[in-house]
Amino acid sequence: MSWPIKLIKIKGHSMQPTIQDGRLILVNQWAYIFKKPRIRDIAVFRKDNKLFCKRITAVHTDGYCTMLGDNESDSLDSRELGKIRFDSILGKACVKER
Amino acid sequence: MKPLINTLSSLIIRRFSPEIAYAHCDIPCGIYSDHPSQIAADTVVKMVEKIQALPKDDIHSLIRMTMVKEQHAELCKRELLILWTDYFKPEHLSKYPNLHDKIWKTAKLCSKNKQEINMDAARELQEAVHEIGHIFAETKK
Repeated sequence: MSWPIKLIKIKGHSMQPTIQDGRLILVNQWAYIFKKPRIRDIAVFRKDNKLFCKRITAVHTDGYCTMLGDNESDSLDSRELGKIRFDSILGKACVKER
Repeated sequence: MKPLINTLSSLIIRRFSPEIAYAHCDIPCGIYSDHPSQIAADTVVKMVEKIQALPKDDIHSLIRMTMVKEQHAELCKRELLILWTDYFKPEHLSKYPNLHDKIWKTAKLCSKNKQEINMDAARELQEAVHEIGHIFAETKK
């Protein structure tokens, strides 16, 4: 089993204004062990061996969710990457939001 | 003792050093063209021409053509800005030192054409976009 907390550095602007480029965040890797991902959570997922940080905007019943960047006009997300499997999600980003 | 310390320290660094998560923006597809901006500028000219030829009571056509003119002026600006920010590189700028100024002024012309029904401004836009297209084509050689 993985460690509960993982340190992640954000690269890119697609989660602005919530998360700025270069910011360090903590990811709770145990957040979705007993609970399903929830809409509005910011999560980190793995795709093609790379990590991405996006917001969950829809949770589907077939084990997938849609994830979009907060900076929607400038984000590479589910619109190009497709739906994200629950088991590709590494964990929930611990980000304080206003 | 030293190898053990090295192993331990690399384990600690690996455990606590951050992994990169991408909050990617654009997809760098590398496909750029000056044609969309030129077609949009041509459309602005055509719409101004048609608007000016309209009978005074044809308010519906006036509204539709004005809308198309504004949409294409906006589209023209967007396409130019894509070339400006994503395609043109410092080496292009050293060859065409007035490139920044030219694109900036052309983008302003797009806004002017959104605001006004003005054939002089439309033709000026068409010409400026054509010049930028010429620079674009030269950099592709």
